[in-house]
Amino acid sequence: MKYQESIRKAFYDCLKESDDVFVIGQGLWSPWYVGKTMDKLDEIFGKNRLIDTPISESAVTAIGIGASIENLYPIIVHPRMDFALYALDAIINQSAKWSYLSEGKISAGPLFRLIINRKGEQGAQHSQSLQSIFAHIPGLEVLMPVSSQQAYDMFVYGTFTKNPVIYIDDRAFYEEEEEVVANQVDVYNTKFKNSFYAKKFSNQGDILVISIGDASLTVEEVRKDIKKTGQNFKHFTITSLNQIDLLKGGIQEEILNAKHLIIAENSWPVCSISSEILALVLEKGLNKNFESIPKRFNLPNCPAPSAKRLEDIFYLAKDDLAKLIIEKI
Amino acid sequence: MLNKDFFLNESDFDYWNQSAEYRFILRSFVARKFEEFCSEKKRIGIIKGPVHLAIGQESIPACVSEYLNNHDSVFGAHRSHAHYLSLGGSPSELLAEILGSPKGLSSGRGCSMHIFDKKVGFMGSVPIVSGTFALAVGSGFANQYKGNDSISVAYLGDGSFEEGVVSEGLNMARLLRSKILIVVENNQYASHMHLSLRQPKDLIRKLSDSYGIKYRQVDAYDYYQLNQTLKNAIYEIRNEQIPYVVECKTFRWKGHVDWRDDINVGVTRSMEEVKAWKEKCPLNKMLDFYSNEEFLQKLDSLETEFNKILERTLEEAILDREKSASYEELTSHTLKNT
Repeated sequence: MKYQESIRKAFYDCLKESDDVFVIGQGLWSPWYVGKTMDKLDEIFGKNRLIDTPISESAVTAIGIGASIENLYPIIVHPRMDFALYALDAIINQSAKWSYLSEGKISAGPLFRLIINRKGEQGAQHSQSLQSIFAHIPGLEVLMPVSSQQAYDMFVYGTFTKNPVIYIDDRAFYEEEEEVVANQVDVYNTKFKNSFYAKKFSNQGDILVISIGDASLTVEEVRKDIKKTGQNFKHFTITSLNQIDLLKGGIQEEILNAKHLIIAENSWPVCSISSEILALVLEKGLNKNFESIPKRFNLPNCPAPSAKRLEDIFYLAKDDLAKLIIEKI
Repeated sequence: MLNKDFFLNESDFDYWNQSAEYRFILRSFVARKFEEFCSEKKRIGIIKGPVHLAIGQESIPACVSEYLNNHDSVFGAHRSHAHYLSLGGSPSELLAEILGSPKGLSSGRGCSMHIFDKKVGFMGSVPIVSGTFALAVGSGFANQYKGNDSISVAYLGDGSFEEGVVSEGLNMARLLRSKILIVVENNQYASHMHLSLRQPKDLIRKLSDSYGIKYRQVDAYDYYQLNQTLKNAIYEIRNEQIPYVVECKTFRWKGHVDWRDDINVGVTRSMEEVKAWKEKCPLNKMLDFYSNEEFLQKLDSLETEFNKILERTLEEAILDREKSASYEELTSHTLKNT
């Protein structure tokens, strides 16, 4: 199943499972700019459950949070992550604090679906990958699925858990395919699965590449190219971004056994998930067997440009990554 | 109902059951005495954090709460002690919270500006101006979505109408038919700055009208006008499933925060203005009209008992808040499900 189809299936299953699930956000009655992830849901479940809204990100988000306080299961959709910045008060000041301040007696935990859509000359305010902003905040869970199965499982979990979940899907994945086991939704027993921590692509070789988000696609392309020459490297993606558990994600041992570490993330380097991972590696003393200095592979420290000739040198380049890996080999 | 730990001998206090007027007096009286107690304890430094006192504004929650049930949801801002108490919230647990005691409503996690008590339908108050407004719109929408009888209440100050999210929220409240009572407590000052320096004339009415939301303005120092307007508004919200704005003209006797009068803060506020409002005090007016010797006596003993409870809570809290906290206590419930 394609990644975008698995998101739609998750929407469908959640809406089918409980009448207390509703979806709110911009463009829901004409969801052409969210790929095929929401096709015909409004026709199937009705416009009272798929609520298209005025251009009011701040209030729309807070309304979803308020409905969650009343024990509904709202899914709040921001078709471009950049626009969700209008809703930071609702997400960070309100939603993330409710459980803590009420000692768990009142929770405000909707699913916030934030979509990344980059390249194609979309520019500075349509192309940001802002996971670090949310990952910084205690009281939120930040999930960034990189496979169809993860996209489905994390969506169902995020909808029914009472924790506020930031669910970030990147349109770069939408055509990627993977077999999906759509477990029966269990509203009352949504557990954070160990498979949410990381996704394993390969554990062959002395070089370990850890990726975040759509950098995993670039890394996999490189791996396929290099594999043709008989070489290989380990590749894992971190997919739970503010609860990074290297042990449960099955990466701790891999880091300890690796001789070289490269971390790739299609976002800026400062205060990033990649810097967080590197800090964890050092704090836990997992660099004992490293034979070279660990290397981060991030975006240049400037806003996303629009023109293709600038985009070409802005985003992670497969060739540069390949060069880096070949050097280590 | 006011909490049992205050009305210990509730059955003796039959005035509570006698009429809405007596309940108004009792709710206002409790809030006034509570705030006066906090004012004094803040002045002498026993209360450490900031307290935004409702003295002079008690009439509004005293009337609103008369028409609410425990399954209605109330959201507030930084000045929320009176709103919470009027719902029957516990004065002891609130005081303990303000003092940062582990016996407080949230064990001191929020103190005065973050009050949460689901038992009485007080779903949360925060100091970010208008921070809970759109949450309340969402809560009122949820009750509409579920088709139940409950409504939601958002308490806002006049300054709230300068926030963009209030404009967005009013529009959404209309579109979603959120069952929400929007109570604007217009005390003319946002912190230090007078309304005339912040807003064009009648902005609150004009914005409400523009977004197609029913609007009434009342003098919150006139009990009968205030009570009738709120009663009608809440009836309409429940029955017609609509949002409704009631702008209540009121006045706070203390400064924006803590115990001082802050006459020197604010452009037009003078001691004469404060005095003039105090002379119109709705609690005193109602007391003059409704008091008889027996009632005044009961009120006296009530005050004595109330102060005893607060002093006892205070003594206990001062000891309790010195106990060291564990890391587990500090960090628990950051997430609801772990």
